[in-house]
Amino acid sequence: MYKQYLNQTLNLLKENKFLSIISIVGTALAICMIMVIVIIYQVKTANYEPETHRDRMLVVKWAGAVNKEHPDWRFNSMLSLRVIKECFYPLKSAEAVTSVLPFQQKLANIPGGTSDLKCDVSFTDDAFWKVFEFSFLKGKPYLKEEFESGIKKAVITESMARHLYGNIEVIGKPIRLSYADYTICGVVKDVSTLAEYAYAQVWVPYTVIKAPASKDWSDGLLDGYRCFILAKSSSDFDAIRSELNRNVLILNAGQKEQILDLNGQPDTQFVQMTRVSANEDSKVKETVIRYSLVLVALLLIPAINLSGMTLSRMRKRMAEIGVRKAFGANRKELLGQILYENFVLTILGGIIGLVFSYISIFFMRGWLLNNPWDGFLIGTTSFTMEMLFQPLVFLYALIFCLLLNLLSAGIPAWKASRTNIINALNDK
Amino acid sequence: MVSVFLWFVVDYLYVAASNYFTPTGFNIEHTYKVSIEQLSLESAEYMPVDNKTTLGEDYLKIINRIRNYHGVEAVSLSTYSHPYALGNIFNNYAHDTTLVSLQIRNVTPDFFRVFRVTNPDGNTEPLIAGLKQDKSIVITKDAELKLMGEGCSAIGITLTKPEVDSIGEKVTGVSTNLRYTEFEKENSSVFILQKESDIVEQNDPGFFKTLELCIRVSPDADHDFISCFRKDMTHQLRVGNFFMLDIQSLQSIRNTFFRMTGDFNTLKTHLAIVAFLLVNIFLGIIGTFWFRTAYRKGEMGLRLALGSTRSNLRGLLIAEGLILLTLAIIPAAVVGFNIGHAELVEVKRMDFTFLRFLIGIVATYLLMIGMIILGIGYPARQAMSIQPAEVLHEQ
Repeated sequence: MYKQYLNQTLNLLKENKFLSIISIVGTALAICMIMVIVIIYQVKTANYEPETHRDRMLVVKWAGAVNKEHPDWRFNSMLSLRVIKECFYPLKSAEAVTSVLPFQQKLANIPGGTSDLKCDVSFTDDAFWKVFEFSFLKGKPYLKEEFESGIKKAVITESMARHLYGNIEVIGKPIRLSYADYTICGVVKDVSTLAEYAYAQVWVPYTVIKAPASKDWSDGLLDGYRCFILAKSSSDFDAIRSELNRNVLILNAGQKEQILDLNGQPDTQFVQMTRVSANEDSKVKETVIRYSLVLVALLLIPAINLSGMTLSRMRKRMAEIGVRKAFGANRKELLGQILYENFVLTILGGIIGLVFSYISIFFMRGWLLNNPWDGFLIGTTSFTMEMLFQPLVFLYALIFCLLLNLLSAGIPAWKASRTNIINALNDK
Repeated sequence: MVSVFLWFVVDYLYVAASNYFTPTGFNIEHTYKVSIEQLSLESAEYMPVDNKTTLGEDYLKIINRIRNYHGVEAVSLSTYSHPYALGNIFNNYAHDTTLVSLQIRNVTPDFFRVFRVTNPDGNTEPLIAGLKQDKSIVITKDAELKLMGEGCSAIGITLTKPEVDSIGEKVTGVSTNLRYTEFEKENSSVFILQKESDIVEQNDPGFFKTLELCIRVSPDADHDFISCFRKDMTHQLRVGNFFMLDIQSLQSIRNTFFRMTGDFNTLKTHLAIVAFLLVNIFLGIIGTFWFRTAYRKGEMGLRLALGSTRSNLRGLLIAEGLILLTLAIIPAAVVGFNIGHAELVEVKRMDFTFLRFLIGIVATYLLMIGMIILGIGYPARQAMSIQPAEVLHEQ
């Protein structure tokens, strides 16, 4: 029977090409805009290489130091190594803890070479390679002992290796970062700036740093480090948070002038997304409300307009509906048929819309996936298949198509199925 | 409702576009910023500060080498002053009892040459000559207006910074208005002389961290300039603890700046909203009018039978649509004007005037008219293509 409906629908589509095209385009536009939002959300929160554990990772992006006597005097910045060593590394409930001094711009070249370029260097510990999973093309990361001894080893990206040496057979060769010499110990695939925390072009142990990144004005609390805590599973988040809070309390008890305030951090991947700058609180509620409103608007406005067209289409076929009713079709059957027919239209629009949403994301990524600070980074916003084609995306697309269908054809279908047989037959 | 919303977005677009096309007061074509950094302790080449030469002497050496590079027309030093800079300093200046907050631009005189900042007559040289005098400053046109009122020249008056010190500085030049970016209102500025000769004695590493080194290149030399400069100069600019980290065009600094502020992105988002609304208005209109014309087939047939031409009919339908629209736009205009009056629209970048409101509402009206004509056209054609006899027969 459904096959017959399908045939019928396709014939109807051909009958009035112009209007069919318009309603398909309308659906496609709505689905395209909705799916762009969904895909962006996926790209920002789903697991993919090298940020493969986003779902069980906690982030401390920023840190604040509050004056003990004047609680409204506050510095906002990032964590200092001292805090990380006292509060974060000892966490027993976590699987691994890593800290990173991210994105220091350095001039990269090779001794005697002429191929200078500016690059983003992240200073990390050895646990970094456990919290984030990079695929090594050559060599391996620096190990715990090497990290602790402050050895000058560097992991670089594939494109960096090719720029400096023309190939990736570079293990053991030197690299010079702002006139400090390092030995290359590993080559990894390039990292997109979308993997915000793992991203860099060169990674070196932070133990090589000889002087603090900035002068201390925060009682030893603030500097430029970020901290990432990997939990065994997301159910351990609460345990980690309470253990961390205990550690912070102990630390603050020993502080003279200023105390550490993490402002509700560590955050999950979604929460940290809404915490844009150091002096802002996370805006989970606002973000959820805003996106829900946008999604509702994107569904409702086209649905209302499309339902006008569905209604017109129904009018035209009143006689047919009357005949079907006269021959014993019940209300439910009719409703099902109309919704089904309309769903064929919606799905057609949905597929086109999904394709267009991928196309628009790909070509307008600078706009759609913009992170305010990306412009300062040297890397590119590249995509991998893994990032974009998550099964969930297709599921969401289907759900939104169904919703749109129900919204745009629900009322006309309900109306049509309730018409009096005689009226319907008379085409009134 | 839809009209108000559409007007709101159209108004934003109008403000952005008209700001964008107003002169910024500077020119960044063929300009580059050279980032000079200092070695860190990790480097084997790092030299302790108590060296034979001061940091300032090393730095001047770098400037002179850049100045002698082929194609370089002017080299300027400044702090938080170049267009699209990531920081700024403000200070209050007073003339008699008038207190004005001005953006401080600490620059060497060549800054005017590099960014083609001119006086209202379009000349750069008087500004340079003015700034070179002792204890003198150059202010922008809008700062002059704020200090002196309409029609009075500020040249020759003395300004003080009452909150900092009581040393007076003489205004020796007035430049055109400068804006922070294409999307901002102009911000009143004061140029203060940064003497190159003062840098010689500087030996504080922190001082050089905020120094901006910008250059203007002659148009003929500006082909593949960055890579040539890097190739030729990396070695030459390695003086003392200084080295060249990067050379960027101001154009790319501008792009980075706008990615940060999201100005262009907000613009695109608003354009997307307009497109979305227009398509939906179109869909809505085509749906309702198709329905309405089908409903009135009989009337149409009768009209045809009584001698109306087909284009008469179409005109009739479109006129009906326009009247409906006009009826709808009047309350929308009232609501919109009140929204504007309450300053709920973007007023930081442009004041809400009646003209601005009028332009916005007329643009909205025209867009809606376009959609209505498009949306009614097809159903109208359908309705007209039938034979009058057929319709009358149906009746």
